[in-house]
Amino acid sequence: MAREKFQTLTEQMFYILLCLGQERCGADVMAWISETTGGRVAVGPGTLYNLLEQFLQAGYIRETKVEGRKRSYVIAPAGQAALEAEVQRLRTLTADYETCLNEEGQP
Amino acid sequence: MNRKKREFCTYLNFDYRGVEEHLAKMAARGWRLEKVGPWFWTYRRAEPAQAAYAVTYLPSASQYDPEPSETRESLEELCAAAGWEPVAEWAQMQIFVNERPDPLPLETDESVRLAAIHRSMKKGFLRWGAVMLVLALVMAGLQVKTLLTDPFHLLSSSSGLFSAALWDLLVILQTANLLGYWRWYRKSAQSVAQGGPCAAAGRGLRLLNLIALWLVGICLVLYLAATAATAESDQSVFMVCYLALFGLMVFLLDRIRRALRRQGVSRRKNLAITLVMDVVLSVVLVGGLFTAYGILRFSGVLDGDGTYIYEHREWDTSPEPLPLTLEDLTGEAYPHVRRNRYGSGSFLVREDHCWETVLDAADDGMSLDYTITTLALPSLRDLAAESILTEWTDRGYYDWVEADPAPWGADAAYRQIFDDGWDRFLTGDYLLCWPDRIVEISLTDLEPTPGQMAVIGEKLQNA
Repeated sequence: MAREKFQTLTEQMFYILLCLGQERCGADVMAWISETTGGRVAVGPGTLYNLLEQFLQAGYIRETKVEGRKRSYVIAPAGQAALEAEVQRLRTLTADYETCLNEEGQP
Repeated sequence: MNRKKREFCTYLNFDYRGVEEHLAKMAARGWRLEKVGPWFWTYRRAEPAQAAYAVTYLPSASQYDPEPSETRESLEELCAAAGWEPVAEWAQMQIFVNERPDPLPLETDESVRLAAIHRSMKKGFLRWGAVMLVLALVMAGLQVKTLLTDPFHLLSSSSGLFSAALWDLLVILQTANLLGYWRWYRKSAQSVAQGGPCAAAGRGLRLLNLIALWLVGICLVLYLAATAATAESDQSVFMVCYLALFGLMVFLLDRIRRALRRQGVSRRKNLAITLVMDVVLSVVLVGGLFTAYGILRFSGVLDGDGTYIYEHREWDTSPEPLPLTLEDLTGEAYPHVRRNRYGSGSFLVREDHCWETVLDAADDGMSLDYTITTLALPSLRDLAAESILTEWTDRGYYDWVEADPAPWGADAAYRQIFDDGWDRFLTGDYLLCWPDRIVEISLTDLEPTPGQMAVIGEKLQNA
């Protein structure tokens, strides 16, 4: 089945929320993610549009200004919490990995 | 060389991959998609090019949104940054093109794509598909009921057979489309959950839609041919006009909707105005056609030859020939004659309705009325006879009694009897049966002699 909505963040969701720590428009979001990840993570405009819509509806981000067709967004407290929860989850994963590696010498 | 090309689109709304691949192929052949219409996609001639087409879905979009819509503009702004140019929209489906080498894909997360498609389909394709399926099931159910209770009525009507075929096709098609979507959605969800792409929609459903479309076309041609063969030629022309006006109505409604969008009218207002115009156009175009046909029919323009008035009644200047006339029965030439003949039925059953009324030299009137039912299959005779005999008894005080068929030269004969509990008498209505023909004749002003019965039988059996 498809992933439960926002239960965990995909890489693309993670980087969108991360880059909206500062106010940015959609085009800037795409450019920032590509630059920050060295091209490893790319967010297509269709995907970005739908994710921004979903984040807005979930209250994870808020719209800050509209200049013509350009819309800018910034992360909201709920989005910040989701981002931190994801970071915590990743830390837990990493910690479990290291514990496993130290105790059992695996993988 | 043609600069424009129209193509009937058979892709299903969720088949984004099929659309993308098809449009890229068309671009390579020098045809660029320009516009998506209600039935046809319009292409314009261009230099052949390797262009990438991509489709994304806007679940919140509607074909009644004002132009430019905010949602579409926001999407276009994002797409422009990655080199994607808008081409056309088809309900929630948004089509873009990119001629840059190795462009950034429009969609980079299959789970987001699948969710957007599913929300879009729930809003349009699935909702309307379900409504159409319920409607088609109800109509097909009514046809089945008619088939069980009065099969001859259904078999003897071209429009009944045509509409039955259409509703049955719609039931099959909508069921297949809805089940096909759910199958595709389940396969896609499983694939996406494992990190794969959405499933391919496959060609099966598209092929089925194409076959259904051809079958509708074949049914329509058969229907028009059967109408032309069994009814008056003006009825076939009427049906062609009716279908043309229906097409015109769809075209005009699409133009109105687009014009309202360009005017920036809100979605709700656009929908309301389009619905009102739908009703108005139906009344004006279809109602106008019926009115015009009625006026032409009753004014006698379609009858060809003229009429005159005598004794406050209308008579034919040159009466049309009928298989059997009162003159055939009495041997008398009548100075004033009025005749009418019209056909109906289907490719299985043809019904010829003939009517004649006359005035003799002493201004005494007589009339003759008969229906010749010709059957394409002799096996339909019992069904037809039963239907006609039951039709009359259903009306109340009438019944049929067996009569001697020998004087008529028929296989079987019946005469109608009236019985309301007080009065009981034989009427002038007879039913004559041959293997492939049934004649229902009304001789209200004539008690036929054996000689007249033989004339009737011979003329109507061979008419």
